[in-house]
Amino acid sequence: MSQKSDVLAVGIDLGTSRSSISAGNGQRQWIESYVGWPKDFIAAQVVGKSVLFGGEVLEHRLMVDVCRPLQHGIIKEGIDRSEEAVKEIIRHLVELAGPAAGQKVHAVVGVPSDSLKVNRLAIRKAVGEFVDSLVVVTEPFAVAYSLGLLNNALIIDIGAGTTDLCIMHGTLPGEEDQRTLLQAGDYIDDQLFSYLQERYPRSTFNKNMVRQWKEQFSFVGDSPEEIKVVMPVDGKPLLHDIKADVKRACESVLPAIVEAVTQMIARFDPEFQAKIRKNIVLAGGGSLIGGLREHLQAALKEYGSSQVTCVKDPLFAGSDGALKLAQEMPEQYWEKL
Amino acid sequence: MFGRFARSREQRMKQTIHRGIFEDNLRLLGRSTPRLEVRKRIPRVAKAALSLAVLAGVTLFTGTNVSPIFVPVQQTRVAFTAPAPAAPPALDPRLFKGARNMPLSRAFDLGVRSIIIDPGHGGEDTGAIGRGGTREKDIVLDIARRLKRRLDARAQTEVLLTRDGDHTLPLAERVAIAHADHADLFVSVHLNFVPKKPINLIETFYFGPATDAAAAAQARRENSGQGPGMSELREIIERLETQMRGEESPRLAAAIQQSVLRNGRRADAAVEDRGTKRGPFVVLNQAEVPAVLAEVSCLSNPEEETRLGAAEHREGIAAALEDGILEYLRNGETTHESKK
Repeated sequence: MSQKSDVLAVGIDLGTSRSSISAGNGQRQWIESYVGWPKDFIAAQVVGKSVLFGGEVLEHRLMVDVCRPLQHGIIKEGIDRSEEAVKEIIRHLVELAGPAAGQKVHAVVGVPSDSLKVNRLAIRKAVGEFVDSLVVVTEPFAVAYSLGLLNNALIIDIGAGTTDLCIMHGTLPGEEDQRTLLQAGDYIDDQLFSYLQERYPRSTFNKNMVRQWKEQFSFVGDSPEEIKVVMPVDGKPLLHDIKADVKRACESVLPAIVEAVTQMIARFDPEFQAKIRKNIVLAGGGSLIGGLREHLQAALKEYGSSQVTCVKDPLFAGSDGALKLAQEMPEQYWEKL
Repeated sequence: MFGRFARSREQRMKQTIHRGIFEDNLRLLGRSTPRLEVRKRIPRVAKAALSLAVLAGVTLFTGTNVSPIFVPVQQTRVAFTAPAPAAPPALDPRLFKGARNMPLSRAFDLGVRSIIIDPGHGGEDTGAIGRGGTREKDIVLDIARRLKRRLDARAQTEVLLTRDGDHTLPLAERVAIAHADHADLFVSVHLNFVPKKPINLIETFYFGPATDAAAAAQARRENSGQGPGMSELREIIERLETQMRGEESPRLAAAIQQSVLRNGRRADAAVEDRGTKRGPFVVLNQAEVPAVLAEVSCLSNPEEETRLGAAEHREGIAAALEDGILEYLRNGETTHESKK
């Protein structure tokens, strides 16, 4: 166990939309993965900070240079500001975790499954400045570790930038056990935005508003409730019914996810296929989409009986798993990393 | 009873996973050589190197420094005979004495026979575009062609371009060209672009694990006059790759950076030296030979963009790249044009 008084173990889930940290000292914090720098001296005076994070960035977005560094779950290669933004997020998260003076930080960081080696290296580079020893793992693996699902399980982590799938079969999952799809939260936002533009061409709204509506109302299948939102038309606020568009946008990610799930499971021996189907876990912000669990379970029915569950705390499931791993990794490994 | 068995099984599973994560992260860092494994791997490396020595039919002379990870050998002169297949003798570390500071090409005394020049971007991928409309893909292609012409003049080296026209070329194909053509060196040419700052800068990236050096200085004597190219010795080199490649690319990067910077400062004394860096570039990661990505100029700087419009400046950069490559190959023993 690496959890000693002179070492603070932390688990970090570096997400496109939200990033979270869980620390061995009990701290659990999250921020939206936006970083903003004041555009000029006046903006700096107004916002009163040299760097802004999360909601503050959106609030002051006209005064700051906004960077959402992990588009599609990867650091945008060669763009200095993007790497800088990742560093700021990590620095801020580690500060929030509050290591004591002189305390070493051992960190496990979760990244998307399909991250190329280059990206994992870039993340190592960005995180390495703020911690003493570092391990990079994939996000769905971190979730599986948090739940103790090390064997015969499939994790579907629906984030903002990517949907990551990972099959656990008692060993560290290899490349063939993991898939990343771009059909995720941002994809739904884009779809919903374009559907609404088509349906209400005279209304004005932006991507941020669309994202908030999605987070508030997302569902697949049937929903008895009406979904009405206010959108200005020629400056006058009007109520619009967006239920059909929300449903259509959310359901647009389903075919790719179902296809990936069935393909990944089909690779295994039939006996194990049945076991994995009984142990499918939805994680990430996408697991909060209403009716998704039921829909997936129904869609997989034709392949045999399936059991799909959702993690209890999607915001921290990844960072909690990463923390658990950080605490359980033998000390001798940390020394070399 | 059953619960205890299940817990023990889970514990074993976790141990396997922890070990897997550890090794995966070491690999990511290019450090796949925990001490225990090095000991296991030595005989295989030794076997390959010794087989080579037998082919060369030569006698190796040893030095005196002994690395702690190797089994020390008492003799000062070791005559090689065909190794017994069952138990190949351990490689004498003293054979590698002094090789730490020597490029691979020189250690094996092979002469680099094939250099791949990779002009970045191309086709639909324009790369950066300067304020004046200068496109990175055009400039780097021109510099690469000039560099090829210069290197071609040296009859012993075959120089190939990954693209010799304006067409899209995925990274994987660039690497495939290097593999197919048995490249001995891989140099990717790019321009920097930093729109938010009015600076001009030069930097050179490499992608290679910065691992311990374990070189084979003696092998260059065995191979002298045998005529094999480095790529033909890949099997052996690959086994030494973890130790060697990690130092080769930085060496090449340092030589190029120094030379290109020297040239750049003639035109602009304020050009910033960003030095050599490890960079997460696929094109370098997958190349199996010393490989660098040189950002030879900065297109976002308006003055530099104007200079890049002049053939003379581009020729100067090509000459600096050539000098850097030669500097690396000759390990600083020659005086080059750029030093004048």
